Amino acid sequence: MRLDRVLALVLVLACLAAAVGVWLTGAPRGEVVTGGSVTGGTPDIAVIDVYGAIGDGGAGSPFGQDGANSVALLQALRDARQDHVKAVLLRVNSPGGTAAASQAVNEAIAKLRKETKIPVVVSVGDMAASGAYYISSAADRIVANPASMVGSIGVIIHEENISSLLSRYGVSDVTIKSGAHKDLLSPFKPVNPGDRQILQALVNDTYAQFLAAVSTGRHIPLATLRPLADGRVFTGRQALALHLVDALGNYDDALALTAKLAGVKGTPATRDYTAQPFWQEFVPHLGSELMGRLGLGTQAPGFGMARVPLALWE
Amino acid sequence: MLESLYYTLFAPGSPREALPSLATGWLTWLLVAAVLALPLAGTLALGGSGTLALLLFLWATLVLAWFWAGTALTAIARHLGGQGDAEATMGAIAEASWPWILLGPLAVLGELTGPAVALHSVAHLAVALWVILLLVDRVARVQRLDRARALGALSLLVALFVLGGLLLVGIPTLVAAYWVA
Repeated sequence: MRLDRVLALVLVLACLAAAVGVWLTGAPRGEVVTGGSVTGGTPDIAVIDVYGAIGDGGAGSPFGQDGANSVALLQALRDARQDHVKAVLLRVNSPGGTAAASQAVNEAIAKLRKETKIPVVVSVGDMAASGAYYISSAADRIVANPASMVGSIGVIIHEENISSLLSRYGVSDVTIKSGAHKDLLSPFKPVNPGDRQILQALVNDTYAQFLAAVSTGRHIPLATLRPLADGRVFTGRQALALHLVDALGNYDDALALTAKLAGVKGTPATRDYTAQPFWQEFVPHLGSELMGRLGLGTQAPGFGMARVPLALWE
Repeated sequence: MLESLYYTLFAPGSPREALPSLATGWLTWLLVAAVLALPLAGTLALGGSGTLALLLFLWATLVLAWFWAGTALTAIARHLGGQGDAEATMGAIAEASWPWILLGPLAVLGELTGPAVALHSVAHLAVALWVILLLVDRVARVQRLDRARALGALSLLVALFVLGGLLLVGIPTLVAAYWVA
């Protein structure tokens, strides 16, 4: 082969290899920002958003999940750890979500703190209720605005039962099942005492786990916590008096506290570890908006979540 | 194709008898689409099928734009005294676009230096300028025009493109935005 063709081929392969290399390194995380300007370099503080209803990544609507995806949150925590950040700041604005997803993130934060000593601070926006508080309770510090809604420690399962409506119009349900409780939460049959007992046991067990996690994370004895954990919400100011949060302030205050805990002097460099390509945010949001307008109600955490215990403030 | 690449990038002034071919053009745009699509797919965190779809979409867009540009440029050049045909003009455009494949290594530079460094932007600008200079030279050659007229023809082509964009997209968007507001 002639030299000119060899050189040209080498160049083509090199350019393609470079492009493939950039593709394989995957989505860059958010840019590193210091004091509002993009500066590049290594971030001091990882910022992770917990916005919207919390659920597991696979449990959303067909359009994707419009809310806080626990799988993505766990990945963000792993990425932050891999990047050896000095601290993690969670921006939380959520009414809660599924108990399991909230628990998963809670445990990931606890594990991060235990294994790496990376301080984790939560900055509460409008609310950190129920599952969002479940997550927040694992942090070193929680900073909430005085008017933020915090708490709602409790678990709920609900289903709209239309059996009486159907029987009024002479519609009967025919269900063939392998076990007595297979149709536990069927909206087409009245809830019998046996079913209710089982469901109550589910709720109680999930609640006990939730309570234990908050007690451990917040260092509040169970006996002290239990009266506060009847599902009610508190303002940030009330929560401070009850030691459910550690300080009052906004995001900037939380950032300053995080920098202090991380030993960062001056303005800290932050990176958003939950930044996603626009289509991964836009399409699920559009999808859930569309479904909501069609009355298919995915405003609660995603399709298919209605029958799991929810740590959700309603 | 390889010969076309070599002489375009490393010896652009060398006299060559063969005019650029259309077949080269198809492959040129495929390679350019690949070096554009792959880093973009990485940024968008697309999987395999998404990346392939993006690549095909970009390739189709570039090929369509190439056809349009080739025929429009031929028509404009004819009015300025040009004597080449559309096929030769399309070949010239494709050949002049070879420097775009350097966007692959430039994407690596971008990853290494980060967005705050001007070097990345300057490098992109340099590639764009190189393409423009090659376009002027190649179009002048195939249309048998002097370089000033070739540059004029290219400028008119860009103006036509912008005008078309305004008519097809910009004005309807403004009207729609007015009505929605």
